[in-house]
Amino acid sequence: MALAQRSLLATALLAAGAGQAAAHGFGARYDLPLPLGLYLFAAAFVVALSFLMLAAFAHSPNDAAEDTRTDITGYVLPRWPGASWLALVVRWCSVLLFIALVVAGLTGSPDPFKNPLPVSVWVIGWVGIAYVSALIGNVWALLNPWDNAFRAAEWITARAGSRRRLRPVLAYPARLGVLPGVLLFFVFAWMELIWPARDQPATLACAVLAYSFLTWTGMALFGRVTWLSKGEFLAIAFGLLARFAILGTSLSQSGGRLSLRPPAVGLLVDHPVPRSLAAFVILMLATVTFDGLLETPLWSTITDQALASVSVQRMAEVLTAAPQLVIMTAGLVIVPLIFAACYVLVAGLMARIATGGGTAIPTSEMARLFVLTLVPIAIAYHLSHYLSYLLIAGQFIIPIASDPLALGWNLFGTKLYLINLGIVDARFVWYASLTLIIAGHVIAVWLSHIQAQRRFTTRHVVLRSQLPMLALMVGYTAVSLWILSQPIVEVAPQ
Amino acid sequence: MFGFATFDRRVFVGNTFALWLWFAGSIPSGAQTQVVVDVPLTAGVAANAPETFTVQQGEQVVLRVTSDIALELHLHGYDIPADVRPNEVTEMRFTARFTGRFPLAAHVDGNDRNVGYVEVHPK
Repeated sequence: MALAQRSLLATALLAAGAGQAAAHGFGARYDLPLPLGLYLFAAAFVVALSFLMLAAFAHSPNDAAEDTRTDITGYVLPRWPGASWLALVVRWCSVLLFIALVVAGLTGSPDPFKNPLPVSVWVIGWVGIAYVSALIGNVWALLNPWDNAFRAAEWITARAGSRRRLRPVLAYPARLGVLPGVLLFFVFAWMELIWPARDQPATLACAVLAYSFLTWTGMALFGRVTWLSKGEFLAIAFGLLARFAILGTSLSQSGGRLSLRPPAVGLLVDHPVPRSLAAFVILMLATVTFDGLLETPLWSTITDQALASVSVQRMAEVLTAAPQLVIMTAGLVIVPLIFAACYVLVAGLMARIATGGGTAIPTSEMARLFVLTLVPIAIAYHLSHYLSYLLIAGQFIIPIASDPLALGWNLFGTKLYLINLGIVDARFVWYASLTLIIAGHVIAVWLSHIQAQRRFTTRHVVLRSQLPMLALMVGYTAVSLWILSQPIVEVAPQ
Repeated sequence: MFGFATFDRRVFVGNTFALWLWFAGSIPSGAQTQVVVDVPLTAGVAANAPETFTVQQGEQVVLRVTSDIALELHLHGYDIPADVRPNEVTEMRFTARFTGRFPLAAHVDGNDRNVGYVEVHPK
């Protein structure tokens, strides 16, 4: 057993020492690239399916639009006895777990593979909750420790007397929209993909504390619910993903309501979404793709070329940062801008096509109306890209959970658990990825068509407006597939 | 830190996932073919770094490493360390039980460097 421990330590030290070794926060990835044959098959299948769907829409009666509008409310689930008590217990547990994780991050082992914080934040927290949000429902609304702690504070102050009750101090400037969330998401993406210290438990714990301070300040100033929907980027991101899920949640005065609905219909909108939310969606889609791009041979070629350039070296000197960080950060800015440019171009084309019939339609309205229809493609890519990572790197929590503070405990008897690489087979990952990517694409094309039916009256305009969108979706799906087909390479540390 | 070849250690401790059992059936347990892969290193780097060495799942793999300088090698995932001495053949042996793409890292003078990747393709 000492042998086993020694070997786990060796992995940990190597992985930690390599610094740049893992392009994604925490742990290595052992994914096999999608074989060329499967990649070509999937790409061809997606293109063929897109045209088949277009033909099917062209021959279907157009009165379907009204039906889908009434369909999506979903089947409201009956109330479960004791549900609110159970929810309260879960909320308290989430706060306690949060405190325990931060304490472990600050005082536990400095080895990221022996401390529960990095794996909880990057693997189980970010990737895992995104999975559950997209597939099942908005669990973050229940698990969010910042929300739950603030609820507790509200409850305590309310009992202390009405004069001490927590009330919003300022009115939230409505024109800002979710801009604070967009900025915070960008910072988070930078930390996840680029920040060299993301795996160091104590530093990560400090970042978590800083974010807690910021979130609670936002909640105290503008009100808990306002800040959750405008600034708490995780609530916004998981909330967007959960629009895809089959379990719908709606909040009313009397409490929450759960309903069952077909997948993805939550992404249909009655009105154009705010500009800042559209920006949030594009940023989220782009960073998920950028994460994959960072591990491709193409990116290491780009890095090599950029490292050789004098202007990059000079910029790194001025910023006193490693040239690699400068290049990656530039990528994190440029890739979302490319995404936004492509999307605005497509929205412009759609607006032009739709305007052909009569009153002018602004590009911005098109962009804000259709942006959520791209989300299924991002979800499919996210699920495929992280499947083996979640199942393999996620296992690190098993040994760590037994000794979270590095005090020599063995709480669950799993202290010497070794990561099982055989849990997912490459072939399983390949076929799961293909199925997911194709399904995501089909759902996106279908959603976009329904959204067009709701907006435009004549079938001619509905169909023609979908051509630019279809081209964009095929392109986006093809890029996702291409990344899966690329061997994962790590940029050599300098 | 290194010095133990841990390749035939069972790593299935505590695994409760039924999924695994399903896949285990696809891994042959009878006569296994042995493949020998040459890994020549110069100054701690493979000729076409990062080079990819491909083997099939279930094969008994022998990585024959030669190097002009002393270094510590480590096959990630499988967790196989090796002390490589200059102008000597060092063998890293393992059964390619798990599919995936595993980095082979060299540890020279306190720096980690990727020598290449071992890809284990499914049967």
